[in-house]
Amino acid sequence: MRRKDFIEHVSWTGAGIAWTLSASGLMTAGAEARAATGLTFVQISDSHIGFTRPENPDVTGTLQKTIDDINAMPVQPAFVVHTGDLTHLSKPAQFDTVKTMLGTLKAPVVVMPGEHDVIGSPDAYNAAFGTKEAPDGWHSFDRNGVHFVVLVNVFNFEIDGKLGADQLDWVKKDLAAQKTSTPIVVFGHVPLYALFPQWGWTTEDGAAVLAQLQRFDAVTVLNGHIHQIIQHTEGNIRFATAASTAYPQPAPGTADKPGPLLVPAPALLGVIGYRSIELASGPAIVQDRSLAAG
Amino acid sequence: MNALLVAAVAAATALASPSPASPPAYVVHIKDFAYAPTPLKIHTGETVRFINDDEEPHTVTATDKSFDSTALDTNGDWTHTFTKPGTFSYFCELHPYMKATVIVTGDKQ
Repeated sequence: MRRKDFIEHVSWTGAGIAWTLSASGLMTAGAEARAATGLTFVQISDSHIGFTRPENPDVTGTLQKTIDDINAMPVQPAFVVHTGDLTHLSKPAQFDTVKTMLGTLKAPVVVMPGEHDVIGSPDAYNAAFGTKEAPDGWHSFDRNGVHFVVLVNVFNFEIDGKLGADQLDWVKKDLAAQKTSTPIVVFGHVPLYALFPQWGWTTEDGAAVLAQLQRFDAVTVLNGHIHQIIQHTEGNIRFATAASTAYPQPAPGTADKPGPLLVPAPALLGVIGYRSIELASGPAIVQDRSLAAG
Repeated sequence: MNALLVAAVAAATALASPSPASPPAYVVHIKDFAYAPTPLKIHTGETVRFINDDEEPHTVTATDKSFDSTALDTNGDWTHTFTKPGTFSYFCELHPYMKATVIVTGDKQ
């Protein structure tokens, strides 16, 4: 099989996951909405409310369009997960805006912080989104026989991509209680594997979690942080980073440093967006959609 | 009227009393994901102004947590007076690989 074909449409019957992503990155019409037999949820990421620079002078507008598109889905997702960088500068007013906007989603919302949400301290994030049940942010939940794990890898001083000993202890116990056949989905802001450490696109102690995930039949790890879709496979574990709802960043190593990437205004909506993930009895489908596709 | 009076008194007091934070004698620019100059050598009681020239937000955060600018957006600035001698390492919370140092020696003679 040629490399291009492999990327464009792969079906792993063994691991039970099929990606439908174009070779060029975002979007393909792909297999449109199949009969909703299983669980479908939506991932959005990196909204950076408070960002005002030319790369996207209207980040609230593009988040609103994302929300409108999701609310218009014919079958509403079980939930919408936001994988962090809700705000740009951790300001209470920015949290107010994004919380109000996410509150207009028809589906329930699951959130976790990115490093832009905990600048100085996690206080503003916790005031907006903290819960008594998960005071440190990390938690897990089960839906339709799928076990979902929410990790926080931005709370550690001096290292953005780090989980820390307490969280590693917790996740070890949490996963130990799951059956090997249970599908596992893991969320976190910073990529859990060494995607591009030169730019900080890695979780320093992520390997400890990946080791815990190896015994499961099918694992999906969904992250944000890098504002672009990159897929990766390690054994039974499928990784996919998500597009931003705000602005793209350069592909790893293609610029001197990471940061907002300026694209011509008409092209912006084509490189930002959201994704739906369908976990049915058969292969799961990860489908990325740009805001231009709606 | 009262408010104006209070403001006037406050202004006069501020002018009369020796300012604890003297005007910044030193400026550290944050540009292209780096602090410059570093290491910066100053004396106790001197003030440093940090200015973010980058398009990305940055912070000036002490490794020992003794000071923290919190988020500095583009063109944002923050001043800090170093009151104790020592070597102070700091970094950017958003980009922790950005590291720099301020070396504070005894009072200026």
